[in-house]
Amino acid sequence: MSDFQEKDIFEYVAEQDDVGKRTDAVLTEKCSHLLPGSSRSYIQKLIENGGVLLDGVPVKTKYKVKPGDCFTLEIPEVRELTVEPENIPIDVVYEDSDIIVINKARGMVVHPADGNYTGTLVNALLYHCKDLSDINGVRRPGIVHRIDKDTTGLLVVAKNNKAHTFLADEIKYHKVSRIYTALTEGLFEENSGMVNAPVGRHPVDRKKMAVNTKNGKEAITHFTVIERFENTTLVKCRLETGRTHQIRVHMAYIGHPVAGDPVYGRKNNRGLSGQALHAGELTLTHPSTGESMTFTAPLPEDFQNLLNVLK
Amino acid sequence: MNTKKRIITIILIYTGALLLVALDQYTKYLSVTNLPLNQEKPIVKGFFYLTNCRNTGAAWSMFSGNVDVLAYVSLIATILVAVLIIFSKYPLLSASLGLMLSGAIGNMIDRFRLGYVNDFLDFVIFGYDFPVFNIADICVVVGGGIMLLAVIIYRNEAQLFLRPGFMKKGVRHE
Repeated sequence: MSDFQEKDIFEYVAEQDDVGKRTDAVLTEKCSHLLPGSSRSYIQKLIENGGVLLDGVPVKTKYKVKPGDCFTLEIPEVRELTVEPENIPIDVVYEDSDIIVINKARGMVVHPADGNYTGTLVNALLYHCKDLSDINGVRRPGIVHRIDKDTTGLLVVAKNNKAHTFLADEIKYHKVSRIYTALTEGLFEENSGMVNAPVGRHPVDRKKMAVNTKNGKEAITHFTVIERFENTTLVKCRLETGRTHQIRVHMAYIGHPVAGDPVYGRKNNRGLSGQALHAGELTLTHPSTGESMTFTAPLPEDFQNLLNVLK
Repeated sequence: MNTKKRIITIILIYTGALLLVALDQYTKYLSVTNLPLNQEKPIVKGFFYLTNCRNTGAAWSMFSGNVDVLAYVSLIATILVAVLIIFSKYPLLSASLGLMLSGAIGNMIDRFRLGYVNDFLDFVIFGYDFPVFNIADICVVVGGGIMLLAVIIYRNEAQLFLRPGFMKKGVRHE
């Protein structure tokens, strides 16, 4: 499986009404029908990557077009990837003809993405069951929601498109209940509460998420303290929204980062290979029967061992 | 006012301020240990709620996020007010400064200790969801009100509200 690329090359000669405008604006307006991506940000990315040449030299996005400028556009042709089935053991909690519920192990990525095409849950699922919904693209068959690579726990996967549409809607309207168990740093003063703070990209470190009032989307996490240890607190978190890294960002935001979290946590990883966060309870309405179903998964071994030590 | 009386007043004001700080800190402790975070608990529905929340700014969450700066601003304010109490000419003015001192200390403790201020008194007044506040905030506001009153009452008697000698220069007796 390789991600090979070919280049499509064509030229665009500036017209009279393009003169004085920025290159990215002109190309977005005039060339988008020729390109696989039509947005201005696609064009800007193409220019930044040196895919647009003027007299053989890469042009800048802000370059003001002059009469008679001849741009050479080199469009990398992206071949859609095929994701191969792989015989990876997965812990199936429940399976019928519509859905399959998995207890995901720590370290497993849910679906293939840039730089990671093998060893994902999707590869394993393709091996395990023949049918998965295909409306979410080749890379994400059956995937209606995600859990982070190092987070463990329950994930429901749709085996057909009807189930996929149904579950995606249920998640969108917050009808699927996902309850996580997290070991957090420090002692909670409150016994319960909620965190309502928008989560978006970190303003500086784009690989991280953060509470961001400018670009963040509404995010609400409810928490209840289960047990307090010497300097850590075991909490249950219920997601009202499901933003990327939501629980990890929200717990860090209120001063109690998830233990072992390599991105948002403290330096001491408490002997864990990732955050002590486990999606232990999942309640959903079955797409065919309409029945409400609750699934539970026990804490992973390393998490449980850590708790035993703390107790 | 003779010197002995003056010293007693100063001690009384400081003691009162410290008691208010204790009250402020105790109510905040009760709030965080008994109330869920960020969830309103109605006491009088539509009017008064107890809501345990964290404020990272100043009044009305102004300058939200600049907790470090705010903590040092309240430290300077605290020292200033504490000194002014010693030089205050009128008991009413002393009382107002004492209230302000307690409020400044109460919120300053939170800012240095936690990085935010604990608030819990949540009123909705004529449909306006008034910002959540605490005992320290009440002290500052009431203190400010009394100071205004003192300024009005003593406006004809005093050129300067503070005793001579507070600042050597700029004190004039005409």
